Amino acid sequence: MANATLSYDVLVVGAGIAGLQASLDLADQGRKVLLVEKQPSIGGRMINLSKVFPTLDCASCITTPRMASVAHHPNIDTRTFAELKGLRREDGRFRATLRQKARFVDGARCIGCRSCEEACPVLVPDEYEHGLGARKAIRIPFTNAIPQLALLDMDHCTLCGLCARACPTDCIDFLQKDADTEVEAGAVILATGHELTRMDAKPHYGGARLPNVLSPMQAERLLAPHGAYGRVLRPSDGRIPDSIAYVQCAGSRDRSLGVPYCSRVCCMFAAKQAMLLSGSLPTADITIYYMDIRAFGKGYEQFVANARAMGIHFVKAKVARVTEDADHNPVVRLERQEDRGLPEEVTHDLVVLSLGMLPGADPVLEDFAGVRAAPDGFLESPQAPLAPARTSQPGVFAAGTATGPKDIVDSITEAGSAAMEAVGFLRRLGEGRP
Amino acid sequence: MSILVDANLIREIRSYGAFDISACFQCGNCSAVCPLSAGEASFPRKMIRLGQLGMEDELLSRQEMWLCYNCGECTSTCPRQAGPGEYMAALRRWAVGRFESTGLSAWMFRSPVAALAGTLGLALVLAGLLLTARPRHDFPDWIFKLVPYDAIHLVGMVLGGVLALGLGASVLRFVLRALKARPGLLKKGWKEHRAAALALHHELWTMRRQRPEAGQGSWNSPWAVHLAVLFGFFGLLAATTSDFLFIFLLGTKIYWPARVLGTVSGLALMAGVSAAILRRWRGADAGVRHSHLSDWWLLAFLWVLGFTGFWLEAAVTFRWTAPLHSWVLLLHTVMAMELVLLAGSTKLAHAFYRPLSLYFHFLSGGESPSRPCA
Repeated sequence: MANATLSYDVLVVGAGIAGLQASLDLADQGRKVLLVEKQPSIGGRMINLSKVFPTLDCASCITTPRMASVAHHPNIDTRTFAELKGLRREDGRFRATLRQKARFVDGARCIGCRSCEEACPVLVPDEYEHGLGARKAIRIPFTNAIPQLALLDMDHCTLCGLCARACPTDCIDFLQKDADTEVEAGAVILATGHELTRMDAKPHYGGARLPNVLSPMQAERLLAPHGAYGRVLRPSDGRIPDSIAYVQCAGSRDRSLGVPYCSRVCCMFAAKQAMLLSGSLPTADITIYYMDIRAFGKGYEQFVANARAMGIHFVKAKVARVTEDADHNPVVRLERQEDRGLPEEVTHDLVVLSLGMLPGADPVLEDFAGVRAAPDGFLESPQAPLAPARTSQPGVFAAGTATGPKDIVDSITEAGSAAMEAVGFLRRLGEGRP
Repeated sequence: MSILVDANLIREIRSYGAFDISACFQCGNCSAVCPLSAGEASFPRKMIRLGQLGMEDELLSRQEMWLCYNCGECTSTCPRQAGPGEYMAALRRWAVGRFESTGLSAWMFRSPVAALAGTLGLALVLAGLLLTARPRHDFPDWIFKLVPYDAIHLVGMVLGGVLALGLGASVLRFVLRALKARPGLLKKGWKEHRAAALALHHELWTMRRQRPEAGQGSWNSPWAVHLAVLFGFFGLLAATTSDFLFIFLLGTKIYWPARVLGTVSGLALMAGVSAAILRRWRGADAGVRHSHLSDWWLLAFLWVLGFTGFWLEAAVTFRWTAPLHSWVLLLHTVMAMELVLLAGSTKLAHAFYRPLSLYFHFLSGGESPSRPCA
């Protein structure tokens, strides 16, 4: 290749925990990796969590070192705020088109001092806090984001110029444009992750309509020490909730939503959040309404047993509706499976919908090198029992929730597997027998 | 209490139209989402459970299946797409079949071929009876040339007797079972009976327990359609009876009260039935998205009866004398007789079981949930 195209051993798409782990595993074996992330920071969903089950480790404390290792690894190049726009096979190698989205900030000159953020007068709901807090139109995405580069949200910018005046390195560029680049790699790992069920997917649950009905990610931000409010308050009036309910299977195992599968993590994150809540609010009543508890992993059953022992109420009932009373207290209507089994309505202060995992919104992948999706929308794993990291295309591997709902432990395991598969593929490629 | 599980019952009920019910895993979403399920009257989940366990006696002595208005909310939100609403409808058909002793209803509900064969066979028998039973020929109107008025009268009387006996026995069986299961109902005072009767009266005309958001306010909302059909039915009944009583004294004229009532009721019936057909055809809401043959059977019968009724009205008024009109009279008469004769074996049977069930429900203190569900 005589032209200026950058060449790598492996292209890793997605810098969530699976993509980070796969990149590190490859780089530690001397492979050159390009890690592409469409968000402005690496870290994925895990950096957004408060703590992780079943050990209750602080998510920031264990994810940030991983992110830093990736950022400083000599064998890893990272592109954030960049999207994969095309992927095709040429002469046995992959050529990818990457679109670097405009940050409106010169990444080479920005020092992450946040002077621009302090100067900016525009407040916008914060995506990182899932709408619970506010951010500026120009900001560092979040405190421990990597890279620490400012990012201007042109949709909300008023072009007042205060940031440009405040910037000590004069790095703000209002005229910056998206730029496409071509890269080349011997193998590809797709760690494109998942989406969550939309809050309004099931109108009966009042999600996105009732102020005190929250998504699980919002609950994570309530619980995170550096979260939106720094403590557990309910959004409608800022009061401390005294009765909190979890609605399980609010986006999974529900054919009426077109999601027949189990999302695997919801039982565990509900139990985890319930434990954390009872730590933050020792006198609060916490109830988990469930159909079945699926605690499948190592130490998970014990974790749920601990939650029960802590006094968290596990009530076997499928919640059918969530309405609210005049004080915005959510009212759940359900039929208990135990006792006499009669329909009843229970009023809580706060309700969390345990949303399910949906395939990551990347339908373009199908056009890329023919990587197929399974009927459930996640990437197909045609050799699932023996080689789960392989996709329908040789040389393209998958890790994490790209292939289906899974927890952090399994995502990391699969990332290691994908890295090993990629190394094996590269070796065969070098020997001329792909 | 121990019970012997009978796995055949759920299969039997399934054959009445609850084809997806084996997917049910008893999560309880249906009962919780149901706007009519309240207090002790909790359904559909419990009814499905009773079916799964094979508790036939328990099912037959309960009224919940008749408290359901098939709004479809449970079916559209069922996580397993098990069709709990269809199950409730199938349960009603099954119960009608069980209370009727000849087995005709069960046969016709379970197989579309049987339903068509039964309808046609009975039509042939009735037509034969009408064409051969000619006691006297003294009514001079031309339209009765093919089927004499007296023949209709005679056959009608006999069929009425048969119907009264058969249907009476079925309904009696239903009432006895209900009372045996709820002996408390026998001890109610007349005040409670009066309150229950009043509640039933309101309920029958307005269907006020109907889910508020089920197309309420639109011209073809379920309760408006039902009201039109109900008014048509009772109006025609009153018109026919008074017509029959006074015809010998006065003869018929189109502007007489009985005839006017008949015309208005007929129009209401046609409007209601046409709207109901349209709703089902379009699958306007979850309650009518799935239709059983017995649903179409009743609507088709009512519509054709109404249509031929107006045809005959026109023929008599304008003195159309082609033989075709006599054949229309034969069709109309046969279908009317069939509708009456099969009243206890078709969807029309709900007209007997549902009011009684609602009456028992109100009498035992069951109130309709007054709080509208958001």
